[in-house]
This record gives sequence, structure tokens and C-alpha cells, in this order.
Amino acid sequence: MTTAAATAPLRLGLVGSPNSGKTTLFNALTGLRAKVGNYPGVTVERREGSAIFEGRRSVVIDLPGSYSLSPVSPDEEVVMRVLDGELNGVPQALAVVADANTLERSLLMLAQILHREIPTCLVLTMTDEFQARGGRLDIPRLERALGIPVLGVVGHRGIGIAKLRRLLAKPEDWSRPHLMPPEEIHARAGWVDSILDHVLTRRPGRSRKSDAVDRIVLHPVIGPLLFAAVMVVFFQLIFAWAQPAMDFIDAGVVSLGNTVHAQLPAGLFADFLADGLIAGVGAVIIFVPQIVLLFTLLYLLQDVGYMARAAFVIDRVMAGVGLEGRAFVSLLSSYACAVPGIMATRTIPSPRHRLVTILVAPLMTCSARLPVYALLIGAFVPAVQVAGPLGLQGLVLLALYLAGSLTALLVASVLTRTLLREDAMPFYMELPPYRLPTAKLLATQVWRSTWAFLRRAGTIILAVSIVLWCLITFPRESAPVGASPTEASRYALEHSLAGRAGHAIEPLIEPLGFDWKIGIGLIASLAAREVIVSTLAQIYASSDQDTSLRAAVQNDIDPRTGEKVFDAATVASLLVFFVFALQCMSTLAIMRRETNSWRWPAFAFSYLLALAYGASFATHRIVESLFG
Amino acid sequence: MALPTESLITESLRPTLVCDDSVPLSSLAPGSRATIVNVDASTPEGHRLLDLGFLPETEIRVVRRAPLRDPIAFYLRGGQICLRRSEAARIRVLAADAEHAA
Repeated sequence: MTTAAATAPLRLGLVGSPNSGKTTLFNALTGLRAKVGNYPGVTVERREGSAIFEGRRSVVIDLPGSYSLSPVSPDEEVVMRVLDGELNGVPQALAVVADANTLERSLLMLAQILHREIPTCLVLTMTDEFQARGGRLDIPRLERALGIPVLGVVGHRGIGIAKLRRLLAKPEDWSRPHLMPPEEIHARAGWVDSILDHVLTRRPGRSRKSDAVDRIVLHPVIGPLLFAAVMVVFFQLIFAWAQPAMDFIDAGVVSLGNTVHAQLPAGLFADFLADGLIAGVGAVIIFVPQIVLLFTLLYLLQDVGYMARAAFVIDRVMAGVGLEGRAFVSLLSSYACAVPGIMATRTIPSPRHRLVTILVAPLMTCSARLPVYALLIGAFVPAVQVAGPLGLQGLVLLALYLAGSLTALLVASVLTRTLLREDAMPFYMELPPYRLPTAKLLATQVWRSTWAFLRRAGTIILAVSIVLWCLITFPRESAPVGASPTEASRYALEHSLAGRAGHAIEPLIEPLGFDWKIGIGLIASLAAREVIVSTLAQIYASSDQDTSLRAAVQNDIDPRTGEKVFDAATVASLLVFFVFALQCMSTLAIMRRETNSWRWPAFAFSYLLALAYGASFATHRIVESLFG
Repeated sequence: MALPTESLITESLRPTLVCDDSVPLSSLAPGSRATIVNVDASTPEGHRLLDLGFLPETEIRVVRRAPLRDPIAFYLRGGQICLRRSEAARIRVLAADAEHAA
């Protein structure tokens, strides 16, 4: 990979505001050869891609979207640090990417960039839309006025890209400005206006098509209804459409594990391979269908321009809890799974809003809680009709969903008023014209996000899965002679490290009404919530997880008291525990990735555990005094 | 916050544009056109409004309010940007047609 300094690649930075078409241009120049990572110490995504311009090897750096060189967000600070040469040296050349339609705003930043005295060229994007809106621009004149090369392109159609490649191959030959633009903002604005008066022979009109669509999409009555409809469909698609694919993967993982058990001689290695490694990898890739679907919808809505409209419609509501419109989308996604929900917070520019959204996302009732709720509600809540078609079981489930969602808003409100109060970033959002993204751009974005999830979260989840498998497996005590296979596995589990830990934490969880068996389940469910169901199944030596496990938990008797382990108070307490507790290492891993430190996942885990413990304790006491 | 706001406003006003008919941008009804007179850029957040193109002498149009009346969408310098009412209140404008001022 590394080559001699003699042929060191040209380092070229792409600078531009959000929505300037920078990403499309980056993809057009580099294809899929992009490396995605994080800048050291911040949560900003770092993207570099290699490209060859006229035989010259180059590294294209896609700098985060920025409106100015006076940074107000971490994204913009990164742009400053790159231009200051603090990260891998100053780029040898810069291409400022500007939407031709909003050239006035982009030139304000270009003026600041020219002062850096790095060879710079200006790339005007969306020139087709500019012309369609009636805009006319004299590019040679603009070149003369600015003193730097200017090129118009249509990124998604590849128009002008070949010319751009030729230009980018030789930044040494680029002309430099003869006169530096003024630095003070008002003087800079005057400079921009005088240039534009000179080169803009006709200003583009407003986009008529977009205006027409907006009249419906943002209509005071139709707008909110459409918003609700989009959100319902969005939720439904992630929830329902991903299910067959997830079942398919699940079945594949299970059958692969069975094959391993059948083909390999029984023993530790086969157990490790099937129950540790394959099950661990399976726990990661089971999320892929949801993530692919979510990101396809998310990027589609975003690239079309609807996401900004949705945030515009709902912003007032989110402002009530100290967040902003864009946070809503990611909280909604978290109903399916907090992992893609947390990844979706990347659209939120304010670091404070983003962090709060990440911290409360695990409170949204995700699909992994459903098997647990289904087991406990099915076993202990009588299936009686309450009012018309409304059953008690359904009402309990609805109450659990509501409890999580309302707590999420409450916690967000508390966090934005206390811990994460400073950094009052103003709310501003562009409402770009509606645009049709190309399938290629969409596919590239979805692929990159999915791959990032697999690589980063995958490694952590795999490691933790293996550790958990070891805890459930070691030390290996052999069961008494004559025990049936199910009894043997129950015996082994009880005497494993996890089993001992279950006994050890019993005094801690007793106030919640849990015994050591639930304790093991809770420890195992740290990996993923639904694991408690299969763990309980193992403990109750039950092969069928549906009916016989249900019967087993219903009839389990505490040998000391002679009473049922799962009484009303314990069931209610356990349900409440699952509403709040962050038992999901995938979520913790993705939080670590998105916040770039263990501090915030640790904080989220602790506050949710405290919340779960407190609420379970209170629930247990209350229900006990009511029914006990 | 402890600074006398009056001196800040006078300081950032451009002499040619001092006038008494200016109103906060947040008070304009949708559909109205105006020219920006002054932006309170005394804080980094306020300065960001300048970076976004909310600059004195810029022509601006109030496009619409969100269904819950906040935020407000504006058209200026070739693009649409929305601000919350509190942000828009930092911007003083001279309405092109006084009838539109609410």
C-alpha cells in the first residue's frame, strides 16, 4: 500500500456547504474506493478516496459540509484543522464545490478559503438545474474576476467530470487570485455582490416544481397528515419488510450451527464454533436487513429533499423537549432497532442535539423486546377483553411502548436542561429543491453505511459474544450420572460462571422480585434482550420455547417459600425492567462508534440501569401491596 | 448577556441603513418581501446568520410558516432556509410593502 515519497499521491480537498453536491462529486471522482473513518477525538466522519487524474495518483478528501471558516460545529472545526494542516498536513490543492443556484452564499466562504493561499479551483454543480431555472452565468468572466479556474459540472450525469479530472491533475498550473478578497464579513459580502453583478447575466428564478410540491407537502393541514403517513409507512417497512429476511438469516445461522454440531465431533470446539462464533456473527448480521432498508429509505427521503420538510413540520414539537426536527426521524427508527436509529442521528448538525438523541434512543421500544414481552404477557396477563376488541394483553403491550417513548422525551428534556445545556447552536436548515437521486448514488450510500456497521460494530459484538459464551460454558462441571441431556445442560449452566454470577447477584435483584434464574437470564441478556428467552428455556430445561416454557415459568415454585417464582409483582417488575434497561451490546457498540468514546455508552448504560432498577423496585412494591 | 444590548445594536448597524421603520424578520407574514437592515451578530450563533447569507441589503422573502407556526422558511440568495422564530427575531428588516407587516 505505501509507496516511496517520490510518487506520493496528490492530496486534494473537497470543500463546500451541505447540499452543494459535494458527495455526488466525491463519488464520481473516486467510485467505491473510499475509506471511511473518524477524525481523531471527534465524531466527525472522515472520508478519503483514491483516484487517478491523467495518470497522477491522488487522494481526494471529502471535507465535512461547512458554511463558513468560522466554525460553530465539530464538522466545521475539522475543516479548519485540515486547512491548518493539523491532520495529515495541508492539502496540496482545494476544489471548492458550490451549487450554481446558491453561488452567492458559496462565494462568501470561497473568499475566506482564498486567504489560505492553497491552489484552489471552483466547481459549480447542478448547472442543469441552474439553467432550467433560467439562470445564466459567464464562467470565463467569473474566472477572471476570481483569478482561479472555474468549471461547471452536472455530477450525477457525469457531465464535465472528464474535464474536471484533467484540471485536477495539474494544480501547479492553476491561476492564483491577483487581489485577495476582503476578510470582514460585510466587506466580503460587498465583494461577492460586485462580482455577481458582473458575471450573473440572469439570476435563476425559484424552482417552480419545488414550490408546487411544497404547497402540498407543507400545507398546514395536508402537510402534517402526509408526515404522519410517511412515518407510519416508514416504521411499517422497517418493522415488517425486514422480518422475512431476518427470519431467513436466523434460520440460516441456526441450521449452520446444527450442521457444525452434526459434522464435528461433540466437544468444546464444536460448541465454541456453533454457539459462540456462529451465533455471535449471526447476532450481528441479523440486523443487516433492517439497516439496509432503513438506510435506503432514509437516504431516499433525504436525497429527494423530503427529510428536511419532515423536520420542518415536526420541529416545533421536538423543540418542546429541547431537541430539533431531525431528531424525530432517528427516534422513530429506534422503534425497529436502536442501532440504525443511532446511526441515523448523523443528519443532526448540532453535537448536543445529536448526543441527547443517541442517549435516549434505547428507550424507544425496539423489536428485540417483543419476544420478552410476548413470553411474559402471554404467560401471565389474562387474555380478557377490556373494551370491545381491546384485549388486556394488547393494552399492557401498548402501555409498555408508551412508557418507553414518554420516558425518552422526558429524559431528553431533562438532559437538554441540565447536563448538556451549553452550546446553544442556532437552528437553521436548508430546504433544498426536490431532486431525484440516481440509483447509483443511493446504492453507494447504503453500501457504505452498512459496511461501516458490519466492520465497526461487528468486531465488538463478536468479541463480547465470545466472552458471554465462555461465561455460560465454563467451568465445565459434568452432570450427575444418568441425567438426561436437557438436565445435563441445565446442570452445566447452573454451575457455569454465569450461573454462579446469577446466584451472586441474587441479593441485589431480590428487592425487584427476581431469583437467581432470572439473574442468569438478565446477565445473558446483556448481549441482546431476546437472549433471556432462550436462556430461560435452557434453565427450565425446556426444548420448546413457546408453550412448555410458558407453562414452566407459570408453575415454577420457589423451594424456600413454596410460592410461585413468577407472581404478579415479579412479572410486572421484570416487564418494567425491560422497558428501561440497556441490555444490548450492539447498541453500546454503535454508541461507542458514533460518539468515539466509551464515556457515553457507559453513561447511557448506567442511567438506564438505575432507571430500570428504580422503576422495577417501585413496581414490585406497588403491585405487591395491591395484590399481595 | 450583561452587556448593554443597545450599544451592540448601534455598533453593528451600518451607517447608511440606520432607519426607524425596521421590524424583526419574525414579525412578517408569509408572502411578504423585505430587505435586511441589520443582523444581531454579537454572538457566534448570530454570526452564523451572516455566514448563511442573512446580510444587510439582502432581499428576502417569507415563504411560509411550519404548520405549528414555527420554524419559518425564507427565500434568499437563490435558496430556501428555515429559522426558528427566535433566530429570525435577531434580524431586522425593512418591509417592501408595509401592509404585510403583521
